[in-house]
Amino acid sequence: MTIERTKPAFAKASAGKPEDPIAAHWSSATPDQVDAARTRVLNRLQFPVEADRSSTDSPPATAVWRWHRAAWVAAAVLVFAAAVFTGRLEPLSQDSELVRSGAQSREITLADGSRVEMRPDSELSLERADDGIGINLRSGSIIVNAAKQHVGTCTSGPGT
Amino acid sequence: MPSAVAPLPEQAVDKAFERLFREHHAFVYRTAYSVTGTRHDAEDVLQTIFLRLLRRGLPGDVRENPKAYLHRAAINVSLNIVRARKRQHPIDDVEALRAVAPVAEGNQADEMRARLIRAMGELRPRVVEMLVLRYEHDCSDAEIARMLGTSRGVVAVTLFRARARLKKALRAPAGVQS
Repeated sequence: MTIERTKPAFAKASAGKPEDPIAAHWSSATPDQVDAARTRVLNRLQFPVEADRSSTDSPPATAVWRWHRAAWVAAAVLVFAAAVFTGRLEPLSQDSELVRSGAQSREITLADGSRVEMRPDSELSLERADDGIGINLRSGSIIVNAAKQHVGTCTSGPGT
Repeated sequence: MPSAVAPLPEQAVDKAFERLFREHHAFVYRTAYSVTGTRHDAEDVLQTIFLRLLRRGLPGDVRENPKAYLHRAAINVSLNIVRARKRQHPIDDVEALRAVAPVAEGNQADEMRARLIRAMGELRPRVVEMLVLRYEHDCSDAEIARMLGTSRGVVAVTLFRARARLKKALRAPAGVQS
């Protein structure tokens, strides 16, 4: 028997009982957030996103994880130098330009379709180097979704 | 304790992994969200956990009790993120920051949520596991005890103390850390 759970009973103030302050300030994800996260993480893990996932018995489309992972890493590796060579970073192409996300998250899209997602309270600068471009993460955290490239190299190092 | 479960062939691991993700991603995400309080961090936790499994393969205890394993992993990774926030330094140029994205002030509900998350970050992972199972996944003491392999009495006492501590943190004057 499957019990369909609703919002915790603790979140509801019953008659004569004060509302539980922990439940009142508890952070719960919405179904939309769960779905959006599923799609984004699937894309990053390079799963095949199936339109119909009602059947868990259906075979995975072309899921060879190791190959996909290698392709994903290779794509990430290629984007930065290619962006430098073509000079298409927009509008953040100036050396040492500071980018801050502020209290909200922020997404920077490069001309080739690569995206840099900045978490709230993050700060980075783009800097040119001999062998490509560097993203100097000064605070916070970022996720780089690299578009597929044909040439280029990319390295990552420890942040400050 | 080493697991006695035999390793799976690679192709079977792929299928098992995919099924594991599809069945448990929402559970992991909700767990992470309730500890970190942000969708970005929760998403990060979800990705981190499954990437690790992808790289290291599925250990025996994942196949034996995936929910318990993933819940524990989600709590641990989430707590690491919450605790790391304390070590992050705010950006110096506050005026420039406001120019980029104005910060809403006086949002008491957000402040209380943040306070609750900070207070949870100071609890032991085991305690946070119980709190999340209770408040996020609406589990009874008996269900929590079964999942964590302990007794109902331990769960009840632990939750009672944890709730008292969290309530104290919520009542504290602004700017006072618990």
